[in-house]
Parts: sequence; structure tokens; C-alpha cells
Amino acid sequence: MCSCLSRKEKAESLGNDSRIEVKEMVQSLENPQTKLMTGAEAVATAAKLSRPQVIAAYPITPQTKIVETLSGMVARGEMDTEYINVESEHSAMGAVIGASLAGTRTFTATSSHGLLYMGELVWWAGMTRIPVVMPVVNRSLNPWNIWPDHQDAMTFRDAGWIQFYAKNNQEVLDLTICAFKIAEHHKIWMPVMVCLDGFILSHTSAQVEVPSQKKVDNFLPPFEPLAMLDPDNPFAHGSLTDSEGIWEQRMSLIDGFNNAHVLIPQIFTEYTEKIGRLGNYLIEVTGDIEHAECAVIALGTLGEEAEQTVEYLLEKNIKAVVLRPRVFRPFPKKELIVLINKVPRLLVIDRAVSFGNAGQLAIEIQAELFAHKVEVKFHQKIMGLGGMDVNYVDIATEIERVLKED
Amino acid sequence: MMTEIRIVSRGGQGGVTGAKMLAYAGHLDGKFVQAIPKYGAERKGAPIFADVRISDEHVKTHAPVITENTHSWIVLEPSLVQTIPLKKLSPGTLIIVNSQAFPESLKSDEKLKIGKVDAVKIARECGLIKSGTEMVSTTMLGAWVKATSLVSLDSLKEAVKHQFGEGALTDANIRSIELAFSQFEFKE
Repeated sequence: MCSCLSRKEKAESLGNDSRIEVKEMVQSLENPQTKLMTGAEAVATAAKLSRPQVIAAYPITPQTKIVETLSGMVARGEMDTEYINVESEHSAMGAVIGASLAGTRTFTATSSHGLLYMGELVWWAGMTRIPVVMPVVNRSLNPWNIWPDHQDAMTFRDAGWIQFYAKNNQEVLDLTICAFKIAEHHKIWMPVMVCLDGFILSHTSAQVEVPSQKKVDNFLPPFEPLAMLDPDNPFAHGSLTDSEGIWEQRMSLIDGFNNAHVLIPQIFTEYTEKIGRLGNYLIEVTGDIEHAECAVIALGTLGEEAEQTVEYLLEKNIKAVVLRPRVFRPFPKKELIVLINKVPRLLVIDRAVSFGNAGQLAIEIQAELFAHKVEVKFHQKIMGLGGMDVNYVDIATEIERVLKED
Repeated sequence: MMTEIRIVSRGGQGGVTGAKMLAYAGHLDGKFVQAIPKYGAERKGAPIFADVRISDEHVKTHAPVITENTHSWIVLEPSLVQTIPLKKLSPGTLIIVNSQAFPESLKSDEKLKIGKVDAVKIARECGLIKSGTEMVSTTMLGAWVKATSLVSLDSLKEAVKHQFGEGALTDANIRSIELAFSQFEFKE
């Protein structure tokens, strides 16, 4: 099924004592496909394989090793990419908007305060449908802060960007490559944010199976502009228009998200067939949903942490299931409701807050529960803000609390 | 089976790099691994730690290791022993300290497994000194492999090569691992 199994089988079949066997194993694992890399390196590797023609980035903290790694690749001639080292995140997004309109595949990366500083042009890219791919290394916001939570990306959930939240370094790589194909699909044609938890993924080394360039090329053809600025056929893009023009644009964006909702699983399927692993789901289900006493819903690494919780609780004879939306925009409403209808109670964990209300994920799920008159006991918990550690036992404790309360 | 290891060090001693090398060695052995640096706005000399997981299965947890579950602690500087919550550790937890003698606070312990190696002396012998600081992490990893055999010595050496490339630095680090192998000792 996935590389995990073949890797385990490989290790088992080779044993672990004899010198010769160890050497053979080293050779077989030196196969360039499985590498130990940080989440930041996984993003950079995925970007390299996706052949962006223009990368613009601001290289200072809170920027991560993503653009440092890519700038090295470009400098060494490993990538045929124009790398623009700009003076701020605002300019980085401005540069990729211009480059995209000139007809090129574009990429940038940012994190926390950098994303905020980029803010005006993040909206610009969203509202004017610029198909740029941008990983966001999720970190907390002001006061000056480097620790992981989802507050930065959540601040831009309404900005007209598709948002993915990855659970591990492998998914970071797979989703980043998919992001280009999704952003550039002519029926979608909008920017994509690939969110990865700061430090927990960005700076942590783990194994990633890296596809060959040939396979990625087979999945992701060269950039085909839907529209591009052309001196021979001049037109204005994104200039001031009347209210009708803006209304028309907003309605087209809503349509674009509806298209994306349908097309993303198809593109995930194509990726899985041509490259492997990923699976076509918008929401990952881990555990026995038919018998679960409680479902946990969480984004990013908290989702995979909760998978460990499911195993941990099974030892205590408690059955739980994890529903992990890996696509947050478009919000996978109908898929969630089908799943939630199967469980008696829900625990929604947010790693961000809409201050004055609740966690964003919880708010959005509650709206769907109301709209569909779903009978489920609803619980929510905010965890891990500002990089507070959350481990599988912490999540288990919350589930046990929920079961006691009901 | 999953082995969870915490490397305790001071900024600049190579603890974070050590975690990466240990994870890489496990990777070469066919295990699933994680190397998690606990970063802050670190300064040279500030106490830091990094965690390593080496597992037979894909690792789902992303949080730092849970103290009660730690298999071993690799302590790169003896004064940092005081940062270990000894009472929380499970019986049989291994603590390996870079020290000339067994630290006083661990001398009377009967619950844990205590080991030591004089990594500063070895680092000096091998010329592993950077900006006046002895680089002791590879030595300590060598001691850990000697104590546990949980990754192979060959893989650890390969990991050092992977980190530093071919050359004098790698040779010095590999020599430090070999010296650690012969000089490591458990407390009776």
C-alpha cells in the first residue's frame, strides 16, 4: 500500500545482525526514493520536482529553510528557475503575482508575521485568481513568536485561497506537488496554501518517499496560462472596476471553489495512481467509525497525533475515531456530515481561536450540524496555542473527559 | 517497538546535529525515525534538548517524548543532569553522561541504568574542537550505541559520513565513536 510497509518488510527480511546484511540494507535504502528530511526540505524537494519558473521570497525570520534550500538548488543550477530575492513578503507576493500574469508557474513560501505582512497581496492573489503555490509554516502571531499554531493561516481562511493542512512530512511533499496541479487547473485557477506545523514538521526530520522527476513530470505538465498579459493584446488585470465587476468576480470565485471541491479528489486520485500513497479523500478517517464512542476532529499534526490516541485508548477499551480534514478550503461540508452522522459524539480540537467566539474549525462544524439537524453531542477544545505541546495522552484525556461528561 | 531518546546539551555542543545523525543511523537500519529539535531563540551555552524516535512502525506521534516513556537520556554536559526529572523516569531508564566520574546526584541511584564516558577528553584527543568548545555529540552517540546496540555501529558511522562528508572531520568523528566504544562504562 504505502512505502511504510515495504520498508518494514525490507528491514524484517534482511534481519539485523550480520554485517553483510546490514551493508545490503544500507545499499537498498540508499535508493534515492526514501530520504530523511525536515518538513521544510520536503516542501523544497516537492517544489523543485514541480519545476516552478519563478520563485520570489524574503529570506529573513520567520521565513524557514524552505527558501534557503531552494535558493541553493537554483544557485547550483539544479533548477531552471528565476529566483527573486525581494525586500519583504509584501514584495514577494507582488513579484509572483506579476510573474504568474506573465505566464509562468510561480512559488513562494512564508510563515506567521511574514504572512501578515504579505496580507494585502495575499488577498489580491486570492481575489484575482493567481494560481501560485505557497506553503505556510504555521506559527503563532504577535507578540513576536516563532512557535507552532494555526493562527496565521486561519487569519487568511477567507482570502480566496485553497488551504491544505498536512499531517506529516510525506503528506507535505505529496500535497505540495498536487497543489500546483490543483491551482493551475483551468476550472479552479486559484492560489493554494499548503500549511505545515512550524517546528513539529518544518524542523523535524522524518522519512519521506521522494518520487522521481519522470513520475512528477508525467503527473504535472508544464504551466498552461488561462490568461496572460500580452503586449500584442493589451488588457488590464485587477484594476479598479465598478460594483458589478466586483460582484461578478466574487461569484466566479464561489464557483471556482465549488469546482475545486469536486476536482480536488479527482486530482488526488490521479496523483495516487501516477505517483502513489496519497488517497483521494478530503477527510482522512482513522479508526472504527461504526463502533466509535467519540470522533476527534483536528487539523495537521494534531490529526496524526490523535491517530496514536485511538490506538492508546483501544488498550483501555475505549473506541475512538479520527476525522482529519486535510482540505480546509474548500470546506468539505458534505463529506463531514456523512461521517459525523455515524458517531454519537464529537470532540473538535482547534489550534487557533477566533477571539470572541471559538476555534474556527469548531465554529464551521457547528454551522453544518445545525444546517443538517445532526444529532450529535458536540464538544470543543482549544489546544497547543503558541507551541504548547500536545501529545496523544493529552488528547486521550480530553476524550475521557468528554465521555464522562455525557 | 519504539525507542524514545532525549539528548540534553548546551547550545553549540552539537546536540541537535547529534539527534539528526542518530535518526539517520536508525533510518539506515531500516527503522522509522524522527529527530525533533526543541528550538527556541537559542544562544550558545543555553540548555537545550532534542528528541529521537527509532521505531519498527511508522511514527504517528509528533509531540516531544513523554518523560515517563523515555528509553534513554544522553547528557552532553554533566551539570545538565540536574535538568532531568529523575523521579518521573521509569525503572531501567538509561542515562549516559559526558563526565570524568559518575555525577554525585546519580551515585546512589538504584532505579536507573547509569553510564558515563569522558567525551571531552576524547574530543580533545580527536581534535574535535570548534570555537573553543569540545564537540562531544558523536562520542556520546558512540557510547549510546555501545550501551544499547539499538542501532548498528556501521550505520552510525555512515550517518557521520552523511552529515560531514568524506574528509578529516568525518575521520575524527569516527575515531571518537571508536574511542567511546572502548571507554564507555556502566555504573556498578
